[in-house]
Amino acid sequence: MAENKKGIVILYVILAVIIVLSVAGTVHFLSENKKNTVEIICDGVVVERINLPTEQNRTIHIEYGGSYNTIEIKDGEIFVSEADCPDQICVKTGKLKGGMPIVCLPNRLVIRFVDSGEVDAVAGQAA
Amino acid sequence: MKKLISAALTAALLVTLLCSCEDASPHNTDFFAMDTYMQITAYGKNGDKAANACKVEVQRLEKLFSVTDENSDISKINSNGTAAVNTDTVDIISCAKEMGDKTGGALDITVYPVLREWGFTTGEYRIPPQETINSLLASVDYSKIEIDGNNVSVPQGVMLDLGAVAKGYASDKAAEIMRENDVTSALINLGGNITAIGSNPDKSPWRIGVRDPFSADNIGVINVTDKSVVTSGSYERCFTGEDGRTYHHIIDPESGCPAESGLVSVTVVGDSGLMCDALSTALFVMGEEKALEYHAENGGFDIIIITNDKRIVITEGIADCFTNLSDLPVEVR
Amino acid sequence: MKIRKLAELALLTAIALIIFVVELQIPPLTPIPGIKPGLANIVTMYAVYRYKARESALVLFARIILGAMFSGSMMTILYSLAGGIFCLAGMLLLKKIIPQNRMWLCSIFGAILHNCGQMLVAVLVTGTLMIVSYLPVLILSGCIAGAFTGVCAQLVCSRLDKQGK
Repeated sequence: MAENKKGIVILYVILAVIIVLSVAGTVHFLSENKKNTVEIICDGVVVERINLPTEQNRTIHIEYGGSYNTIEIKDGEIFVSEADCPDQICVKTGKLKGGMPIVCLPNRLVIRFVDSGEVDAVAGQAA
Repeated sequence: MKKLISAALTAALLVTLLCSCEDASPHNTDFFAMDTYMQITAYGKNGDKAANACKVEVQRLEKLFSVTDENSDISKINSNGTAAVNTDTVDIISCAKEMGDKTGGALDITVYPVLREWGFTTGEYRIPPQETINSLLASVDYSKIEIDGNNVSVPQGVMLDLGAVAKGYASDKAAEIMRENDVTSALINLGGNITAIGSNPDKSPWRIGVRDPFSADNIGVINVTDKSVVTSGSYERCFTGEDGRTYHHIIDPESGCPAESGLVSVTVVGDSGLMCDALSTALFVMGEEKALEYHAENGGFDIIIITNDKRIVITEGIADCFTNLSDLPVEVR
Repeated sequence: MKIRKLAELALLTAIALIIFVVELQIPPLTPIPGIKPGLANIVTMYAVYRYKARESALVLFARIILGAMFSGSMMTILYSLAGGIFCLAGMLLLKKIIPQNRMWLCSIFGAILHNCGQMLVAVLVTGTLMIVSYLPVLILSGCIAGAFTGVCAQLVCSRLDKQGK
């Protein structure tokens, strides 16, 4: 019986450790929600993956075939602040929201949420 | 007895394992074609194959329909006045002509010279003088397109541009490929031109956002299964002219200027992607009353109209599957 | 196998199936897949503590396979089977250390192992390691569900004990 008690104490300790780890893991999981993860894709290649809410304000410069887009992350939002494409659609699209990606056709740039959230797709996008 | 039970259980296990080969993971492919960004997502075991086949098909059609590619069927017609073309090209042109007839010319695939003059094809926007527009309008008439077998010919000066129908046609072809591959759950998004195959893998309908023309949010969500959803909006491609006014890319074939019909966007929901694509443009040109009249007379589709004066008008058929996310009033007609 | 034993095991399977099917009718607590109370495990727990290892295995697997057939979702059977094997193996081992008056502890470990088994299959099926980050959430929910079903099974055992005396 004495040995049994020892075994149970060990199990309690193991359980406590698992629970503490899981709580930590869950907090991490929830803070890095897929709905907040943004991919910057240039010509089919994922250039960066960003967890928006925790990302520091910064600008990202992306060049493609001699043209450029300047992407800005500001207070948990992402948008194209400057580009040298003729149509400027990427800049006019404004901040990235929901299921509609920011697209710059001439520079083959796509900025999108990994998980579009509320909707599966958006009809009538700016491209 | 024991043997019997274990035999029965083994059999049951085998049967269930065989039935459980349903694959629930999505297969994505995204690419640039037809001047836009396309995303195709297909579920199920043929999903990967089907999605890739769709991509190949869309790219093939792009090569036929492009106005900028010198070797495309359309370019050949535009530069030579006549050309022997692919059956797909014949198909799409005759469908577009038919839609032109049905919509009383509100859809006209020969408006290209005017569109080009405004700079919508290049991004170098300008307001053309009225005389230029008038002279170009003389060659805008889709009924002058002659189709004879595989030969398509147009009079001098008339130029084709399938921009208003190409994505719709491509989405129908892609949908066909999905169905041939027994894909029962897929989403074909050709630059905001959406065709839903079946439903979500969990059997719930696809949720398609309708963009709010007044902000970058969604104005509402429609739930659809096996439907195409296409939006034409004045916000999509537009510029502010030197006179401070905003000019958009949906040209009224009548005036040769951006359509001023009191609408900011028209979303068409129906079975055929081509029809939805063509109608979204045509109904935008027509304006609210004429569009609703057209719907009442022809049917077979539903519309969501968003007007300049901030109203949402939807037709009865989709009233139940539309969720308004904005504070604009909704009228069901 | 004695007829009496067979009848008892069949009864247990039937009860587990009923609980399983009734639980299907409860709307999911969260939109996240894989999180559910797993009430049918009350029966599994009871079988683990009252019957031989292979007898409780029989009850569990019969319930999983028939349950999948009844609910019509064959896709989930891989997950349930993997989870079931992990869970059962773990509980049968832990039963030697954990007495009946601490069954809930055994049940929690069983639930955790169940989640691990499910996750393993999920990783294999989807081919993405990314989803492992979701395991802690599953385990936490498993702890709560496991504790609840464990307490229930414990109550069942002790009440039947009292009646038996």
